[in-house]
Amino acid sequence: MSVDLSEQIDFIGQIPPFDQLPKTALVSLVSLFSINYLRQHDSLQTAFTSARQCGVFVVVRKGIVQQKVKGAIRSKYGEGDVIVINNVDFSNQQKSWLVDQDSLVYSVPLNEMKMVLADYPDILSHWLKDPNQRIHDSVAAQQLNELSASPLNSMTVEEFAHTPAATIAHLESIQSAAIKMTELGYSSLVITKQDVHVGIITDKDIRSRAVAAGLELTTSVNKIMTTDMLTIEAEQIAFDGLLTMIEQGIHHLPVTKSGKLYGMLTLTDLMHKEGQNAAHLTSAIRKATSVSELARIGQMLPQLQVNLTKLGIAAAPIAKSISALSRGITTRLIQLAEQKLGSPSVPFAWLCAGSLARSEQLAFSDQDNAIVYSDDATEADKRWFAELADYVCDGLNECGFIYCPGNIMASNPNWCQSAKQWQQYFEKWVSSPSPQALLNSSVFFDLDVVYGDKTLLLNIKHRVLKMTQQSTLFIAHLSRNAIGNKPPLGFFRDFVLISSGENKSTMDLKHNAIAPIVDLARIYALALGIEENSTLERLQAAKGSHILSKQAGRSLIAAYEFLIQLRLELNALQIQQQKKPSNFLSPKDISRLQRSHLKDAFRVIKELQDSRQVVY
Amino acid sequence: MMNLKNFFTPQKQKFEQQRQALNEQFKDMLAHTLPDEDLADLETDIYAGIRAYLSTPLPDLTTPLIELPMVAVDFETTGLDANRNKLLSVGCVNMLGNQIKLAQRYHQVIDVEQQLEHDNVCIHQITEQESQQGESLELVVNDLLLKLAGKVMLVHFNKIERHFLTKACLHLYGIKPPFVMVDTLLLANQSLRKKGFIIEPRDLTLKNLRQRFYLPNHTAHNALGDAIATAELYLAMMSQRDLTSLTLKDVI
Repeated sequence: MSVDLSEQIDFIGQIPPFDQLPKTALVSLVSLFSINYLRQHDSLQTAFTSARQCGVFVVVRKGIVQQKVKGAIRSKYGEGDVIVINNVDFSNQQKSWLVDQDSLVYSVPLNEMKMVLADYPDILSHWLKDPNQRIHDSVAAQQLNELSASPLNSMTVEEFAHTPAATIAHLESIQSAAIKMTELGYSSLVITKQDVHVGIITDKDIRSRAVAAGLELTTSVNKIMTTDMLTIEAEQIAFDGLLTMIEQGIHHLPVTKSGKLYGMLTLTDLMHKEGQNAAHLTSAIRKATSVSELARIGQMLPQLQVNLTKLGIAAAPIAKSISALSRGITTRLIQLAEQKLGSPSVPFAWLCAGSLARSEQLAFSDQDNAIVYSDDATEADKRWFAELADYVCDGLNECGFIYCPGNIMASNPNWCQSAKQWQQYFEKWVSSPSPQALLNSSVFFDLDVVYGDKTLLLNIKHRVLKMTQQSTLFIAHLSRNAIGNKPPLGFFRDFVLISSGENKSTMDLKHNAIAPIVDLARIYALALGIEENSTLERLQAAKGSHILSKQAGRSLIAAYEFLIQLRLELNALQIQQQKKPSNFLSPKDISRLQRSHLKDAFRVIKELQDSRQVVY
Repeated sequence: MMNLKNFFTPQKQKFEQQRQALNEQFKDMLAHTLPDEDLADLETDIYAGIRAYLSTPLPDLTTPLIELPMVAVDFETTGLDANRNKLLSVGCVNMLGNQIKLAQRYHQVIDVEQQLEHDNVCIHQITEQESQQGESLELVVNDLLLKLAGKVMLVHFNKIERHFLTKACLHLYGIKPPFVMVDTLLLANQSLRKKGFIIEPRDLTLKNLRQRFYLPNHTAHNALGDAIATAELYLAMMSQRDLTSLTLKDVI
């Protein structure tokens, strides 16, 4: 038979992962499709009831289909979107797929599809696996993608290795190893026996296997070394070294040349190549003597963020690094202010709120901060704090952390207050909550100390967490605010379908997808008394509790990881194109695969928002 | 505009009676065309199609559309005149009720044994080389009749398919079988006029009608692609009506 069905084959072949399918397999698959024209309000379960035993795979060719769960619209499917209706879904009264705009749909019973794709289990499982699992896998694939674009691909290990590797004989004591490491400034040593390398020890081994285990300092190093030491050959490409380290979760990799020890490769070295590394910047920040010097370092953060992204490092650790540098800059600014203004007579603490407090800040974020000082502060002290606040907030702005549009800054007198006043603020927010007030203050429920007396905040936090756990009204108001911010329903061609039924050309990735998860995590934390600030840690801690099932928690974590990774990639692209990073994402700019993952993420968010609605 | 009425499958036309009569008339003659049993596996039985078509009852006029077995068919030809021009390719796909079954499809280019005019090559996009690699008219019509036996044809502008297929049957078998055709062009013309639209001939092309019914842009210019496009148009048009209460009589 000649090549026919070309239109249908082109259409299906564009939908990932079918774009990976060899032409012959694609033709066999498309040959199985049936075409239906469904009218508005038709139910897909009814239309494909003949496939109810095995389930059905449906592709929207034209029109819009919506999924409803318990009567509420969960998701919308447009041209090129895939709907998998499993056999259990056919008897599920709560779940339905209804035609929203007359639709032309292609379909194939799942058992037939399984047969024709038997040789392509990956493609088959992409569609058959739980959508939540799909997000998990996509996060890993995202990072791999970035990795393969790394310049490390064109360089060898030899170009990065320190030579010679620092070694120590296997019968030397742990103490002499520690002394040698300290003198050299190295965090690892290769252990040799008659000049042959037999193992490795790191800072961590000395800490966990020697000190924590109570070993004598005179114990020989071979007692605590790692013997099944991984090595890499000098002529291998540097990228392989990076992959090995990331996979194994190690930071040091001894390098061999023709099997003989040659040198040492560290993760820091590889990252250094990619530009300024975080460790280097940290020490530069500590040594800075003026605001303008700090501002120059601040300007490097966007590029650092791009480099880390390109290295394939996951989004959460990147945000953590950027946050750490942001804290470093803040600390240095305060020290510079103290050099200029002297010191106050009472203890105080510089607080960060919002994303920095959650260690989720990225370059180009705005600043959210506050000051808490001892109740004994004098009028002179208060003037001092006001001056400090102006100095630091102005400095941060110069460093690229722009003024907070909502004026949540220490320079705002409302947020430069005594411990007693802060305690009153929180008591008011929690015990007599109003939705509007909570909207403005929720940023303070992510609060952390950057500099100063930590106990000033800790005391308040403990009391607040006790109160929030008991105040169902407070949690209810917070929930209502959080679920008001709904993620989009899906995509239609190059438009974003938002909950109100409108189409928009872009979506706000931060506001409409990431923030709802951050909000949910905060609610779980406050309701359960979880002390952690970061979204991922909060979700980890809340998962398996009575308000967040293990499975739902896992899905939400995966969705969050996917979204922040996507945001980081979006920002990296914008920074490279010399544009100011924004969180507005146009469906045009992402692949079809990313679109479908995004839809999976939206669905997870909506499911959990809906369940908050049920609880309150 | 041509008088479209000439191209209706006349309701009064007793196609099933015609089929029975023809079957009676040619039964004996066609019986001789059965291949010898010992040669059955070696030779293509090129009369199987016409025998099957004439001996299989056609659907009753009262068959509900939801149960009606249909084949969407499209021909590519070297021109519009069945007496002078030739059939170049045949495409068809089965439909059952409101579903198009891509698994049951057929597409074949025919070797016309003549030079193709450049102008037409642009339209049907079948090159001379492709045509030469095609099958003989005999084999293709035989295949097609096997698929049409007992079924109703769905076409867009039935003049082409009716004339070229009738002509081919006369040429190959000396028989003029009755073909039952549902025509999307005629259906659209009727229903749009009934709704008060002023319809010009160009509104009734497959492309423009698909646009009117918000179907995806259709670009393929091969017979199977057009047959599927016609079938989709039919489903879109009929979606506004109730297929369970309508019968064949309502659409021919």
